[in-house]
Amino acid sequence: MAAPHDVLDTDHQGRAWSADHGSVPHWIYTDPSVFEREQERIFDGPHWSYVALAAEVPGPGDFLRTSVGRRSVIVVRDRDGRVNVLANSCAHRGMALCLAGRGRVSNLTCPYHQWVYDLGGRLRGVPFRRGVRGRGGMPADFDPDAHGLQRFAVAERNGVVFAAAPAADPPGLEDYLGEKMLYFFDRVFDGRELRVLGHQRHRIPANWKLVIENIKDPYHASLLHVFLVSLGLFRADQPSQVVMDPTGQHAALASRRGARSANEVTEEIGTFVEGLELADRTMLVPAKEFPDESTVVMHTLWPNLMIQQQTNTLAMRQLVPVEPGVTDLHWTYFGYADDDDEMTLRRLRQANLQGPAGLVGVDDWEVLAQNQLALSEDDGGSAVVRMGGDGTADTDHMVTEAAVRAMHGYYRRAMGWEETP
Amino acid sequence: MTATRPPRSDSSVERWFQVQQLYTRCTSYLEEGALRAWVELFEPDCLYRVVSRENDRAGLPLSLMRCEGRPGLLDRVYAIENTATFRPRALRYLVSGLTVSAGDGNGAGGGDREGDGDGRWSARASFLVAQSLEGQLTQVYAAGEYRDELRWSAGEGLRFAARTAVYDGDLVDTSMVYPL
Repeated sequence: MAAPHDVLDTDHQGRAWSADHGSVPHWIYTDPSVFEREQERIFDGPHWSYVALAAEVPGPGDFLRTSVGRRSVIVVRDRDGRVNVLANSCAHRGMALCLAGRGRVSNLTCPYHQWVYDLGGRLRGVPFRRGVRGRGGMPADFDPDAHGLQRFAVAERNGVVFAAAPAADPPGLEDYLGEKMLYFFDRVFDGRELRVLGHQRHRIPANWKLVIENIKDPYHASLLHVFLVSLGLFRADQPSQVVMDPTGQHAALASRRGARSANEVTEEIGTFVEGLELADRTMLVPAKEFPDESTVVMHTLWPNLMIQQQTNTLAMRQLVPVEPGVTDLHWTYFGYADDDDEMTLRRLRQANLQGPAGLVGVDDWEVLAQNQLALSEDDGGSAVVRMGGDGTADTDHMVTEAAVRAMHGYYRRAMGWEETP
Repeated sequence: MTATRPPRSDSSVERWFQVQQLYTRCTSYLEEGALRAWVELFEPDCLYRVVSRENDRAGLPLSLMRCEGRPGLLDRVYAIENTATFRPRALRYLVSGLTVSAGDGNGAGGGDREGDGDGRWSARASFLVAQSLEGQLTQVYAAGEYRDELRWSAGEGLRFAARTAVYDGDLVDTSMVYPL
């Protein structure tokens, strides 16, 4: 038995986080003051948040509205071809000037007082600035250049656009991802033009960390997702790996489709259905399209992105924290502009496994809701995340919660709750 | 369940009534959880899709649910009944504003002579689905429009050749387990 560990010296408002490895307190998923602190330290902090695929705003004036953390932002391409990310908040009274979810405009005009901004967020027009017939108007010292829309830092790589809060100052995107994560990123985003196939959006009654941890947790996949396991798409005994970046923020779970028959491994999976066959054989006809052998890669990029490759379904899952117990997920499914019709149909058919109505996906949203439900009723306990041991090193199997432990190691530091030595 | 003769093509009232009966049968089966009976309201080579209004307006091809043929529907039913994990619930389907027109919307079919061959109709209606999760309040879960192609064939009666349920909401509440 391990020696007793010290309770965390620096805690949060009288709530402790044990220095025990593999112990995660429940209050981090429910406490409103934690949620506020996360907005400040993580979503407004030195991290890159995914906001859009460049293909969603192809031409000058094309825009879409999305979020960085809780902040509403406008992603817009200007006439120089640059993608800008601007706070969706008029410099005048703070109104969310962008009402539509997407579209094309020649400038950004706030409907309330008609303040006009260009596509870079610079203030270009204030009606009645010089008064009307000698009366009223803005004072002489009013400087429009000081009242533009807040600009977020933008980084784009191979068609994927990220943003960071104006004062955040994150490392360059390449350094932020690191070599190991860049391998998985560039595998899907290799410079080829992307084609958006559609969006799915849902609101999950669970804390955002539970949502992202679900994609860092391969342990559940072969037990909860009967469809996945019984169709041989994912199993605990397949060749697989869990790869993390050195900080613990990001992770990739990669595996290769394997055997379908029952064996000593499936004996431990109470829900395994041997010989499960789809009635519609056209739904899951795989095509090898990547150079390596992985058929499933679930790639999480802290703090808000999950990049999914499930056979031939490619999708971004963008996470938006709404409340301590509520998270929105915005899915963008895509392919490549050079996909032929057969490949596109293949992607659309396989998409049935994923998303809010996914033959596999439904399991996740439902257990996340139930997980949060219990925590919201009593958040005094702690989770035990010791599957695979206590370490956070990469593994060559999926029977581990290493990526969850690694994430929490980083999370504690980011939140300023250092472990006592 | 099957009509003994096709709806008279010269009677829009009778045609509407037969479609209304099909719709009523459809919602009854869904509400009762009689999912296999629901599947039999579809033609063998049907296409069933649930699509967001967002994707529909943007002309994007992604569906939320996509069932190709009865096999696709049966896979969905199998998952619901055997493999999926979800909180128990009851669903209630309210359908209104049914309009029926001859033809499949692409100019084909439409008329038929009594007792001969098959006729095609297109129909649309508004729907509202209320969901009651066990232990919780009843809530509006989805609202939208059905766009359907129906086909009458001798011996089988009126069935769905294609159904598209376009839901309005930009956010689905948690998950969609049952068909709309």
